[in-house]
Amino acid sequence: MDVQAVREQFPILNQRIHGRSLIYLDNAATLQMPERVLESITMQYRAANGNVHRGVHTLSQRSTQRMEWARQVVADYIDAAPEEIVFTSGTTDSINLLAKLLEPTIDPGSQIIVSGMEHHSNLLPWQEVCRNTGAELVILQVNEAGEVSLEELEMILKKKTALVAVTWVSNLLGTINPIREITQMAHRAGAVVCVDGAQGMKQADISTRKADYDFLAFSGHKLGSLTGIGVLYGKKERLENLYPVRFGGGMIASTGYYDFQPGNLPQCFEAGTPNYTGAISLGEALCFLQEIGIEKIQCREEELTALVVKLLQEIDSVHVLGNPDRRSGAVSFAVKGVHPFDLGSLLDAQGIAVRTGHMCAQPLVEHLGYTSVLRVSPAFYNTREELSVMQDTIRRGIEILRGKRG
Amino acid sequence: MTLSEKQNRMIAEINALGDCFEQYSYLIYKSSELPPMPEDLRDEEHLVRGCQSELWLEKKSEEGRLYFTGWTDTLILRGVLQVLRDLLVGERIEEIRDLEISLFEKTELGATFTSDRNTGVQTILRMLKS
Repeated sequence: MDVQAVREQFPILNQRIHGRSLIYLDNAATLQMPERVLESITMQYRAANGNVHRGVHTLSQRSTQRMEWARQVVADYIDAAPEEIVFTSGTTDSINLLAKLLEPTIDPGSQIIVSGMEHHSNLLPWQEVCRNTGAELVILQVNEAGEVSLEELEMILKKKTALVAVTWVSNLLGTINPIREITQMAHRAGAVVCVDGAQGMKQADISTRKADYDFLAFSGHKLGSLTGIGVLYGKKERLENLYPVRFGGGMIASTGYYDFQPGNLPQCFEAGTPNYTGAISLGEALCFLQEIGIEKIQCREEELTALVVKLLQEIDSVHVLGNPDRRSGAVSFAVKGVHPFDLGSLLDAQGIAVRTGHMCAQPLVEHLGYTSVLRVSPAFYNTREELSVMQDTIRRGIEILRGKRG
Repeated sequence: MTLSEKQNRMIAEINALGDCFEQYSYLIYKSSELPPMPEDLRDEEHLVRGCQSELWLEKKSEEGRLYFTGWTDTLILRGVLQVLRDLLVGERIEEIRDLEISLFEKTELGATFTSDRNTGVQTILRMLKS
């Protein structure tokens, strides 16, 4: 991969923050937007904007065609069919929608298994479903290495299980979960599988054919599109058996004053004007990633992530959370005696963007013995030189915070 | 010297320190001057809402003048508290209410606070003025 050529596609990276070159290492929160996507958004509003699915006029048809093109791109990206792709506003929205769709199918005597490393987005909706249905929420615990145990899953699955909800990649630890194996085990036990793909969409084996999960939720902005667009993928045979929970324009076959007939998949789950510009930008973003090559991106991100771990471990008193076999895109750490907010602020003062806090994975942070940590999340466009500057700056920051300098 | 003149002098002194890394170093140095707040005062009543990190504030007035102290786990916010103490403790409450506190906006310090923390700093300022 020609990293410099790739970086030229991201104008935002070429700027100074507080007088220093920006080093953007908060990619797990949001990926920056490539020129191609920026241009597509401008083009949409300059030449093609019209509300979709409603008009006979040319602009409406252009927008509709572009949105449906984007749906096809998303479908191809994960080896699915376009009718299996429901556009939402993001991962959180997708999982909330799924939880509402599935709720009437959940038996009060059953259990919902959620891994202990979930983002709040793939935990709270299932807490709510359990409260509403009487089903039991069971946590698949995370070990010191930051991994879940398949043996433990096998044990838990012996009880009647309606659903297993698990993230592809942990947003806190970067752990890559064995989704294919988890899905096979869940299916053997008669459970459906919901995968949080927010951090996992740059994995080459995200394909539905390879992994066979039932539902997948992800956000566009972590892939270089606009914010406010996301996807809920559902297997056709699953979606066909779910009744809509959002009602209004665009989701019907026909309606009278007192009753309506829902429309076809996937529109029956997309009430209201969809975020078609967001969808188009997602299509463009996925095309951009595919042109670079998903396997190349995955390989580079795993390499950079391993380098982040190595560089952090070389710094005295830094503790890197977890030590999973495979990790990508996120490394969290704590420094003995140093508050994460202080170090995060010092890094920002040097133009380095990282994230501090509990990363919306509060139960896991607490399970690992912390209340707040720092997270470095590299992406394919980061360089080794940037990571080296990060290491030096963290060292200098720790010295200042410990009063050895300044 | 009026309170406003005192603030301007502090702004000039902080800006003379150099870039924001140096100014942060100064905040960390100031944090060591903040007297520890007794544990029993670090309770719900004294907790300031709106900060990323836990922060407690205790204030009182004597003969129309403001006295306060506070505590937090983060060194930078401890430094912020101490800088505010340097500016405001013992000053007349009426004068503090009339003062536009621009200490953080007119130095590099404000620029590097995250928006969440900035909200926290704004909350502290509001509480001190109320």
